Formats: sequence, structure tokens, C-alpha cells
Amino acid sequence: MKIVAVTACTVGVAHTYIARDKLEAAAVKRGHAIQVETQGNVGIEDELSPEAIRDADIVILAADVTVAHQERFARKKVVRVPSVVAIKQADQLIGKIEDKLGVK
Amino acid sequence: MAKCRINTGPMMTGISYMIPVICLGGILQSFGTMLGGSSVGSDTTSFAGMLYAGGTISMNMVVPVLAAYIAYGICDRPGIAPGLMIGVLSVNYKIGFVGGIIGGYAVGYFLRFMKEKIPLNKNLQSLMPLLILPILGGLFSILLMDYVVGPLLGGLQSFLVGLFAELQAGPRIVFGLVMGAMMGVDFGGPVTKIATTVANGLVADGVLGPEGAKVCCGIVPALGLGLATFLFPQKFTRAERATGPSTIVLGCAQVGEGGLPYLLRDPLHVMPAGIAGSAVTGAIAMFFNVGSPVMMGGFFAFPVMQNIFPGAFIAVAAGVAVEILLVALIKKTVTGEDELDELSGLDDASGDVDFEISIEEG
Repeated sequence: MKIVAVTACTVGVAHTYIARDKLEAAAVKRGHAIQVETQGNVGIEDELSPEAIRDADIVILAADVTVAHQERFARKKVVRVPSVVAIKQADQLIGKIEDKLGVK
Repeated sequence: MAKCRINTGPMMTGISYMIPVICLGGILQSFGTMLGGSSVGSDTTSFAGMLYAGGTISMNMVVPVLAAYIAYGICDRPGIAPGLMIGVLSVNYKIGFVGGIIGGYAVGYFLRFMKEKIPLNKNLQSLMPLLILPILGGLFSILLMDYVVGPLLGGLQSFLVGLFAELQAGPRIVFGLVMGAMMGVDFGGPVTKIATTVANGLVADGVLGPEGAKVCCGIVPALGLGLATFLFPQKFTRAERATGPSTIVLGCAQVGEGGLPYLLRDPLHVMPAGIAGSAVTGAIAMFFNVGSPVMMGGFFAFPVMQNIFPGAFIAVAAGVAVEILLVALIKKTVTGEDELDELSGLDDASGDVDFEISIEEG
């Protein structure tokens, strides 16, 4: 499946980027396409394109703070978790999304 | 798994946006003091005076930004305008962070409730974010701050300032000890302000000792915590260690707020260390009669201060040493829940992941 995700943490210098790395690694390992946007304290990096969001099967928001520009995800399927879930349990997170969406 | 807990998400959002404002303001004030000397506060023509004035403006925006983004974290954009306002009100009542946090949460939840409850004709929908919500939020903020929170907390604060000022008649080491302890409680918050209001007031009367102790005490909490991230890395999370160097710089510049992220994550263990370290510094600085005609600057203010050698250096060094020692002794080694340390080897395969997949409205 196609995943888009946004990661953000409180201070915006460390966990934001660890969460991105872990999500990308877990998604690739399980055979999914993924794009991750980071919202650290320097601002938005690797911003998700409207096309990527339109084509995505699921949106993962792994954030401890309010994610900016959430109106982009209107009418999408969205999963909200703290960044720590993406960091520690990225594999289970994506596995459980597979189960819930009935994707192999 | 219905666990009852305070929703700290909005608070984290507020802190996240607040941190750069603190850094900007604190550093500019310190540089201004270093370049401009003791008269920098009233100097509006020199570059140093402008730096200091700009820093002061930024420091006055810290609580408004915190309140605005707490509200934003709860009710999205409509929270920003009234959140800024309630934050400024809190600053005016001199109740700082506490007022800003209460105000930000209150106005955020109020507006979220209003957003859901007000039925509006489709044609009038555009009035909601532009007119109705900001004004309702503003009215709510004024009622809450000017009639309830401001007078209550502000009154309590001025009562305590009066109480603390009386202590000045006693032995000066005791005064320094108590002032330092207060500054170690909340690193620049309302308890700190009780102590600093008295010290700042005494400068106007030509009594420079308490202000000298205040400058020394203001350095200690953040500097000690920043140094501790290097000396005892196992006591801090990865994010805390990453911010260690900037915390050291903020500490040297007497920006106690630099220690806030550490305090807020682990108040039970960080606060005692801050109190003890800062109290030791206050007592020693008062003993050596360290005096300061300026309010801000930390080490950068030392050139314009009195009796700094050896008093101020001993005071700061002793306070920092005590704080680091206490961090080493009482702060728990970071593991499990809050430790997100190395990229490998921390995958938690045992715990179940619990979440809902929701379809966004819109």
C-alpha cells in the first residue's frame, strides 16, 4: 500500500527525525511505498505533495505536537500516534494498519 | 485501557513554539548588557541599547506565544489570536507561565466547544474564523484574566512579594538562600518573579547586593543542567542531550528558562537540584556582597558588577556543582518509557500498539 506520514516532536530536533527513519525502514521492510514529511523546529521538510496525499491509502501522523496543515488530509484515513510509537514500534504499527485495512 | 491523564499534547505544542523565542530574547539581552554596560536599559540610541530592547520585546512575547500555541493545539488556528492576548494579560499581571498555561488551555477548550456548538447558516460560515471565534475568545480571555485568574494569582503574588521584601531586614545570607531557592523552583516562572521583583526594586534604591545574587542565581539552573547532560548522559533522554550545548549557552546568559524542558519532563527530580544549587549560589553571593546595577546578562554582565572576584565565581561554581551532584544522586537513569536512545536495539516487540483509524472530516 501507499503510506504518507508526518512526524513531529516537542523540541523538534531529534525524535522527529528518528521517527521518520524508523517509519521508512519499517515500511520498506514490509514492502510498502512511503513518503515522510518532517515538521521539526526548522519548519516543514520533505513536504508531501497533493498528489502523494491523494494517492495514499493511509496517513500516519506520528506527533507529540499539533501537526500543521492538517486540512490537507480531509477525507483521508488517518492514524494518530505519539512519535514514540513510530520510534519503538514502527513495525507493529504498520502491521496493525495492514490488519485493519485488510491489506496483505 | 481507559487511563485518566491530563492532555499534555497542547502544552508540548506551546513549549515547542516557545523555545526559539526564549533563546532569541535571552541572548540579545545578554549581548546588549555586555556591550552597553549598566545603563543599557535606558539607552535607546546605541546599538547595544537596541539589542537589549529587542531582547526585552522577545522575552515579553514568551508567555503570549506559549499561551497562543497551547490554544492552537486544542482548537487549531482560531486559538492563536485570543491566545496571544491572554498571554499578554498574564504578563501584565506578572503571573507569567502559570497564567499563560491556564489561559491557553481555557481559551482553547472554550473555542473548541464554541466551534462545535454554534449553528451557523452556510452563508455566515466565513464569519466564524474571522470574526466570531476571535471576538468570543477575546471576551472570554478578558473575563477570565481580568476578573478571576489575574486578581487571584496576581494578588497572591504581590502578597508574597511583600512577605519576601520583609525578609531583607534579616541576615543577608538567609535572604540570598531563600531568593536562590525561589529562583530554582520554576526557572524564570512566577515564583522566580517574586524574588526578582524585590531584587529589581532594590536596585532603584541603590541596594545592589540582592540584584548581584539574582544574576548569579539566574545562571545556575540551566548551566548546571546543560553541563550535567555531558557529565551524566545516562540521566537524560536523547533530545535532552541534543539540547545540552544550547542550554549551557542560555545558562551563561542568565536565561533560566533554558532549563524548563528538563524541569517539565521530570519535575520531581530536577526541581530539588535546581533549588539547592541556586540557593547555595544566592547565599554565597550575598556573603561576598556581589552587587549588580543591571538585571540581565549572566556572565556577560560580570564586567559591570561589583565584588565579582572571587565571590561571584565561587557562588556560581558552588551552585552548579551542588546542582550537578544532586542530578547525579536523585535523578533516575533514563530507561524504558522515556528512553528513545539508540536507533537500534530498542524495538519494543512485546507491547501492543493501540490506535484507531479515523476518517478525517472536511
